[in-house]
Amino acid sequence: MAGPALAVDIIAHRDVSQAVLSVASARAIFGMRHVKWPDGTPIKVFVLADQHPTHGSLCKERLNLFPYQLRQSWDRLVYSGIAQAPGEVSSEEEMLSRVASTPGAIGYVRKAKTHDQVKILRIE
Amino acid sequence: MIRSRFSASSRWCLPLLCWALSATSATAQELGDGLQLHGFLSQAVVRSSDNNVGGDSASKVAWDMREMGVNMSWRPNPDWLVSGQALARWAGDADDGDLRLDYGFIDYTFLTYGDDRAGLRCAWARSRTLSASITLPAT
Repeated sequence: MAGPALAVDIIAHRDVSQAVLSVASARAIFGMRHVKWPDGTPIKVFVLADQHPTHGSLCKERLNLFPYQLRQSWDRLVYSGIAQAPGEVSSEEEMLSRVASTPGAIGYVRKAKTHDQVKILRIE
Repeated sequence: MIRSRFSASSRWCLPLLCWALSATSATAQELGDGLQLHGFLSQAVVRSSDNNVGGDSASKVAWDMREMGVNMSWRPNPDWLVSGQALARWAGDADDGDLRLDYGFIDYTFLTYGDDRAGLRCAWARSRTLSASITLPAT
């Protein structure tokens, strides 16, 4: 039986070769610990503000985390010098355009439309 | 200072009343080409009943402990990360706000397998020692 429809799609630049991500890989990527795709392309992570409802949905539905946990993890990594912070965008429109135009980019939107110039990644 | 106040007061070895607040603000700036700049400011506000903590906190609200840091990192490609942090701290006689290098890292990842990676990190830390370590971050 199908579960309730999830509200957030994880999207990537069209040239990203992967079509499926495990939850662990998605957490490692959005947690800024995993920085390149299997083919060597740098991963560019884009996120919305911590308070944005779509960011809350990504954390809770896809990553099984709370936004504050992701923020604490980023701060800890950045201020101990072992990783960089994700790029922040101000709206879902900007998210779509940045992910579509940046090779290796990953992000998320509330239900991507099929005509959007990005690839939708399946999470398993 | 703490000792004299302790002997002059009662047998309590901890302040009867003590409140401390610390406000921290962190901010980030993307400079392009894999270069990022981050900074933070932390200010302590302390009031205690008997012993001084972070200034003359036993007789008034003490504002003498604060910390400012600037952090930069550069990732020229996914396998290299160069990062460092400069820090100024004010805390009693030990720290008077002099700017110093908190740490500097050069991190090279030589092997990536699935979600695991192995690398070498050269570190310049506050203790003024240069060290190198092999890192195997857990996923």
